[in-house]
Amino acid sequence: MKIILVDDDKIMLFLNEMFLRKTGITHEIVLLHNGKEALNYLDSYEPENTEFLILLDINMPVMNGWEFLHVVQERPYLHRLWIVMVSSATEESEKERAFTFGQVIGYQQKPLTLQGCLEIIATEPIKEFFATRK
Amino acid sequence: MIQVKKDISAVSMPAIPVSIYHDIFDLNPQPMWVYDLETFRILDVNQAAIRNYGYSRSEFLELTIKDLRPEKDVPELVRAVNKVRKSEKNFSRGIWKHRKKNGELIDVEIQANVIYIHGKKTELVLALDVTAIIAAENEKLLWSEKLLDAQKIAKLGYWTRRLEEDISDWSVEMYEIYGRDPQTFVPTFENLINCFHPEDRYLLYGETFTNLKSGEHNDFEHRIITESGEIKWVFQRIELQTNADNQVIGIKGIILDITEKRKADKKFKAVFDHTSDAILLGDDQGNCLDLNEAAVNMFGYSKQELSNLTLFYLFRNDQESEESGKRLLKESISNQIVKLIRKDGTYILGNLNATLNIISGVHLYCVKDITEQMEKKKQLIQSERRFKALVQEGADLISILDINGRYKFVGESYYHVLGLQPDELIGKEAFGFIHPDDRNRIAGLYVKAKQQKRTKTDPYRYKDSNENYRWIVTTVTNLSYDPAINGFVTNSRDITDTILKSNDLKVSNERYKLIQKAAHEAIYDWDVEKRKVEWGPGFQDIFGFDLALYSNKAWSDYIYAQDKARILEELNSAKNNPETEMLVSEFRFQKANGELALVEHRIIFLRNRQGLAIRAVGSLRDITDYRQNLLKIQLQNEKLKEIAWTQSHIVRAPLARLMGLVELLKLGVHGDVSQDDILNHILVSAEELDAVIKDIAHKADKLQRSNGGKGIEDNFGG
Repeated sequence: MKIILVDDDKIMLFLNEMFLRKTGITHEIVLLHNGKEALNYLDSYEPENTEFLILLDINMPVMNGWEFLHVVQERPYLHRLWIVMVSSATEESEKERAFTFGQVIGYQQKPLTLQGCLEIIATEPIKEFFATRK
Repeated sequence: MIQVKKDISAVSMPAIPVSIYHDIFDLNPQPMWVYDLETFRILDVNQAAIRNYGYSRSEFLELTIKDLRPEKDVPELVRAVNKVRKSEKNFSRGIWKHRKKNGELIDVEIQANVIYIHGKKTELVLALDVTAIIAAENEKLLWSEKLLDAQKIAKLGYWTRRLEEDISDWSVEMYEIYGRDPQTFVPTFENLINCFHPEDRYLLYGETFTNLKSGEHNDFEHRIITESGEIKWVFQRIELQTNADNQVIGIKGIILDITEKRKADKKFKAVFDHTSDAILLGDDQGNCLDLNEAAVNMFGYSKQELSNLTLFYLFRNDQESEESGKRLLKESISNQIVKLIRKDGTYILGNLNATLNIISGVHLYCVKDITEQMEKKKQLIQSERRFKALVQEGADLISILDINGRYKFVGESYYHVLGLQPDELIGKEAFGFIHPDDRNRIAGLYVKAKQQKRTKTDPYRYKDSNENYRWIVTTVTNLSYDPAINGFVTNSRDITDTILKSNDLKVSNERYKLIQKAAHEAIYDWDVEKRKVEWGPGFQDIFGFDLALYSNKAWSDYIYAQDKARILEELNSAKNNPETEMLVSEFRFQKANGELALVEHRIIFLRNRQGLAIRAVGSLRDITDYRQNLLKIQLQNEKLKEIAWTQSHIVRAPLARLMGLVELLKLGVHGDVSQDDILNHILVSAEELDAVIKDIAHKADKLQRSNGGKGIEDNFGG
């Protein structure tokens, strides 16, 4: 399991990483600044058995979160992706839209807090990764 | 002493005492007297005269023969006596009337002989009282006349013929019946043969006469031919004629002219056979003695079957057996309606007349089938009831007026509709109830009605029992020539409600027109049944089509070509679907000036009970501007939404960062980053947030200014 944080705001990337570490996880965390970077990273990642937890911001330049979600639908590694949306938007409609994608397992509002990070790693499909390797 | 004139024969007679002559006179049983031909005085009278006339001898000798006569006969007596005075004849006789002392008149046969007494010419009178003989003769004569009359009236002739003779003795009526002249016709056997009808002549030679026995008679009927050729029917009864010793001396017969009876019998038979009424003759036991064809048809049994049935069975009722028929027929019946059962079990209603003992022991029953008549009567009653219901209980006001407009008959509905009592209207003038403003108009029409068969009025006002005026229309039918009506029949209807509704409708139509103008829509009214469309003024105002110049189909002709087929198909299928009440559709429409407009078409269907559209009301509205504005607003909304979304994200980005940084500070552990760096991040984020807020305030201020400073009132006010 690899963790990828995607956000165009560097301070936000910093804060999110800090809070994740505060939960005690030691997994590798990759910081990327938009959807395009994330897509490139995944496309070029060779080992085919690695699974990814992606904390994905929505409103980003180059390729926003929605565009990224659409594009990865066609990728062979789709089934190895676990995505949690992290957005400053407060509309409930955004949350509902996010869950229409099968890979989205959570939705967190910015700022991500320690509590929010604990909820993420306790999410049902992925908690086993963090329980055994903590 | 009477001195008899000397007679030669008497002189030669042997001597007889003279006194004997006086005794012959005095004691003669026949009344006798002697009177003086000059003075008429009675000179002597015998005892028989005294006994017979009631006068004493001395009284008689005071009388003249005039006193013995009724007064009216005296002149005749005087003439007769004068004749005797002058005559050389000594004997006279005659029948006269005499009057006794008690006034009784008697008939006497007078035989008188002249005798001279002392040279005086007198007459010896023998008066034989023949009153009884004369009366008997008169009686005989009377009876004889009666017999002749009876024979004549009865057309009954009588004849006899002695055995050894060829000529018969005929009574007067015989000649009459045979049409022969008694002066010239001799009733010999030969002549009699010629009187018989050739086909009946055999009777004269047959057993009719030869087998006749004493004390018996033979009856037969035959035809005779009169001298003029007329054929008559006669009834003959012949018997042998015997003398006191009961020996047959001849043959006698009576003939009765039965020609008329025969004709009458024939007529009766024809009536019996051809009448439509059933006629049955029965006896006391109910046996049918005779019946006509009509009876056979009425009861439905053959004559053979009827011979085995009793009349009691035929006239039974449907609950009981023959006994009920027996009870019914036990006495004479006049016009009783009875229900009879036919052979096939169906019923007929009959009018029964029964006359018992038309001949001893023979009863006559006549039945007239009145089933149809009763049915018609029933229908008539029903028809009368219906008529009554129509006239008296219907909504129409029916009356009959005389030539002056006065009520002769008023239907019950006048009470139901107007509250006016029909009886109280009789004789009153109808115009008195009409509103003064309408009266002359209606009276004028009534004058016209007299010249034509039927006249109809326009609505007019008629006063009801509450003094309120009701609106009425009337049809007047001139039936003055019909003796059953002899007047003008009026059929009136109360149309007050219709008139009021009509006024309401006028107001409603005015409003509708105003609404049409105000709505800025092209409104139409489509009479589907008459295939006619009425457009409101909007069609021309909005789309520019003047329907005086364009066809009424302009609205469909100018539907944009690409939309036309779809719209007409939608409209047609909605019209034909009983479930569709309203159809709303949009399409493009080319205006008269060539511009293309987007229109909204609404149509509401009015349907009959079968669901067929009979009328529709619709509107065409130009929604081009409305749609364009709506589109603009939608686009603006989309934009505003996007802006709002973006703005919220821009605002929340520094804020979220601030919150995260503060959280991090609170946790106290922040890796390689120093607290100063975090504080610096906080400051940068706060400044960023401040800039964003200032920007929003600036944009809002800009939007407010771009509206030209005008409010709602400025934009839409007058």
